[in-house]
Parts: sequence; structure tokens; C-alpha cells
Amino acid sequence: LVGFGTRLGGGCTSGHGVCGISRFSLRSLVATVTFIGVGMLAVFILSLFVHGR
Amino acid sequence: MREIFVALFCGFLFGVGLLLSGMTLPQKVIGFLDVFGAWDPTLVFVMVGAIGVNGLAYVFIRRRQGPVVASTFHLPPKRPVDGKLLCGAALFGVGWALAGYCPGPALVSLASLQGDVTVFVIFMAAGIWVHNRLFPI
Repeated sequence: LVGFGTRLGGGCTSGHGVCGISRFSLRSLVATVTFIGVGMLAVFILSLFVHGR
Repeated sequence: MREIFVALFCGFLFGVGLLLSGMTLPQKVIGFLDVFGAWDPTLVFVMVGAIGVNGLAYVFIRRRQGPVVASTFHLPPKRPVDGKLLCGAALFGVGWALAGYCPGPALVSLASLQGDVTVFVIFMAAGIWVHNRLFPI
């Protein structure tokens, strides 16, 4: 997922999150908000299964 | 030749930064993403700090005619926000949340040669390979 997603999305935490936003790139800002948002959602969904609520 | 040593130094500095900031600790990364649970917001400062320094440097660098060591600047082309970007970022987000590793810290942690991160990097490479098979450049 990380390898495929990084290639498809054209960057990772460093590429989009640090280098891209520092260059004032809209694409990088959108990508960063997306992967942090989805990451938070994924951790939340996973925690539901782990704690068995 | 000078280019290689500058790259080596930059890579070393970046790796040390990722280690010191806690980006190479999967549990800390997952804690950062756990906003609805025991949220650990400290990694926000890693990103804000890096963007602050990098963004300021970028403003000064753009005023220059050319780079100090290389012959030209290598900047990614301007492209619009598209479905590929959103899908890729979303998939990346899921993988990042499940494993607690993104590519840079995973490569730094590979130096430890521990089993889990080694498996992660092998499958990350596999993901890149599958992407390049599906979408040849």
C-alpha cells in the first residue's frame, strides 16, 4: 500500500508533506491532507476492531 | 564528485532528523494518527518545523540563478490535482496507518536489519513494482 500509493500519488510524507508544501504546491497540500486524514480514519477503524466495541 | 558528497551529507542529516524526531517509531506515528484515542500530537512539530525551515530556504533559493553544486534545479512539473493523486494519497494513508512507516523512515530503519521493517521495505518495493507495471512511464 505504501509503495503503490506513494508512486500513484506522486509522493510521500517527505515528498509532498515537507518538500511540496514548502514549495507552496497545491497538489502536495491536497495529498498531505488526504493521507493524514485517511491515516487517522484507518487508525480509528482499526481501534474499533482491536478494542472490540 | 562534489555532488555525491553533498547528497551523502544531506541524506545523513535527513536520516538523523527522522531518527531524533521519532518518525522512525511506528507506535509514535500511529499515536499521531490516533486522534480519536490516545492522540500524541508531538509529530505535528516535526512537519511544521521542517516546512518552516524548508519553506524559508525555498524563498531564498528561488532568488538564485542556479544551484551551488548541480548544473540546474530539479523541480517537479506543475500538474493539477487529479484522481490519481487522491487515490494514491489515500492508499498511502491506509498503509502508513497500518504499519506506522512511511518510505523515508522505513529506509532509515532498514539499517537496523530488524525483521518487520525489512519485510515492509521489500513489500514497499513490490508495491512500486506493481505500480510501474500497471502505469508504465
